[in-house]
Amino acid sequence: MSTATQTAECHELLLRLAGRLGDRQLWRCRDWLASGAVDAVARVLPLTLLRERVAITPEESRLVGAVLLPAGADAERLNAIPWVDEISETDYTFSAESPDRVSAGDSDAVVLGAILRGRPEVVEARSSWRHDRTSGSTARVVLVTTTGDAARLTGELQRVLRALGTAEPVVEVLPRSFEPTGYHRAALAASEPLVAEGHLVPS
Amino acid sequence: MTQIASGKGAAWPGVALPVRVHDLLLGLAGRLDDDALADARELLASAEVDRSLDLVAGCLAAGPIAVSRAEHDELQELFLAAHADPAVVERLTIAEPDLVTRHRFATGSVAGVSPEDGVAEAANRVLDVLPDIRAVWAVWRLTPAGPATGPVPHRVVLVGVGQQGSAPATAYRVEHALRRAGITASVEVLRDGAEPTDYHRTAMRYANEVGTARTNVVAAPAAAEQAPRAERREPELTAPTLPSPPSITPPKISSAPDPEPTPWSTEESKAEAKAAAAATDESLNDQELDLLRQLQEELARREQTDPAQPAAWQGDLGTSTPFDWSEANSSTMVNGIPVQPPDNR
Repeated sequence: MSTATQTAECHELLLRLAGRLGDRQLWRCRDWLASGAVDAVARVLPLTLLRERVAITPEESRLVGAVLLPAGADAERLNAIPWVDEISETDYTFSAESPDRVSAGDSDAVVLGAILRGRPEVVEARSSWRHDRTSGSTARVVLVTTTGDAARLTGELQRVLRALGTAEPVVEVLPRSFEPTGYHRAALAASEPLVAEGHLVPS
Repeated sequence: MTQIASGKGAAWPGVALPVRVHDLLLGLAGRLDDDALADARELLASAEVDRSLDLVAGCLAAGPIAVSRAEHDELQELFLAAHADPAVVERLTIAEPDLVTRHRFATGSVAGVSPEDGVAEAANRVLDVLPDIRAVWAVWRLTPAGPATGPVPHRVVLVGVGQQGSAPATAYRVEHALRRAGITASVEVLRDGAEPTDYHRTAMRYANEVGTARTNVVAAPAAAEQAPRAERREPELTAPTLPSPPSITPPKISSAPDPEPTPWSTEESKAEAKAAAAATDESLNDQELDLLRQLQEELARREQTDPAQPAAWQGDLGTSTPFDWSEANSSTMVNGIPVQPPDNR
């Protein structure tokens, strides 16, 4: 398996874990993946799933094994991750606007729009606001569909958002062939474009 | 139960594994991003040494951030001691790092906010219960850290702990208390007797003391009697026990230079120091007397150097700020270039 294929499959695995694995762990793994350190992800992710009690389905378990074992993951740790029959609903709601950004403007969206505008590989770029009913916290979810290197674009957008002050950026870059999860569908349903129609180059 | 690493034998006799990881993280300050350090310290304090080490190795590999041969060897030993897979460590880039930090720190406040603002209020409750807190300082760092850096300026809080202190727990709990109060800061806990890095020395030169936080100088008097305080090895760490400089605008954004520059070291300041020493001899302990002696020696040493050189460009620091810019910046590089003194013309 080539490194590019390994990275792409690992990126899709992390997409499936979005909304279940914490933002802090998810952005870090994606940052490493964007830098080509799939071996580091393979060593950290199984232990994180175990210690953070993130359950996976049998199908996801097979995917985790197929992606992470060749990259150096510990088989014993992978075997120890418990299965669930189906993933329960996440405790999130999504909205297109954040109440605290309405009056102040959204400068981060302006920067993201400027970065993504005119990129040939970007099919769609949207933004949604995720509200956690348990903690009461709110986070921006950036949703991009691409025909290019999704892992690399994720890393790039994450680093921009961090430099702007978002410590744990939530950036979901979906390859065009990827079937969005329920989490992504809910976020997309309550999103608005980051780049105005006509300023993305259809590929 | 505290894990004791077999590790380097004589080099680390009886040093607990978390303390070794804590010291390793201190050495990576300013090289890893601040959140990586904070997360690694949280895992360390939560007795998840293996995950802490995995996080550090992943960040170094992904950066990529080069480590020195000594750091590489230490990482390998720590992974072995923590029963973690050292494969990622083995492929890290090895290069002798810069001996001097490339980071810049602000003198005093930035945009009207002093680095110590709110720190005491947020952290005092925690500092009161943590053992052997010696002093707390705060400073703004102006330069980004790590490949996935957060925004700048970034607040750095430096905590000095004594022999009875718990460095990993202090680092995590103070950072957590600050975060809960809405203050984003890196908390660097410097152990008494441990050699500080150039990053920490430089930060200390610019730091303001967090005045009211030094409430728990000796949390365990009985234990302190059994283990007398070790003398401080690094004068930079003791420097902030001097009267804190006033909160001033950093030189880069300073608007009006002082029309009459004043030498940083004056007879008055020396006389004040001597007078203070004489007046407080009775009430000071050996360590504090030693600090005063160091102050007097430092003042005498500086007076022997050419006073005209620093006096020509230090006026905007104010007459009450006896700070040696030339010395402070001698080891501070930005993009490989020594930081230039502020232009007063």
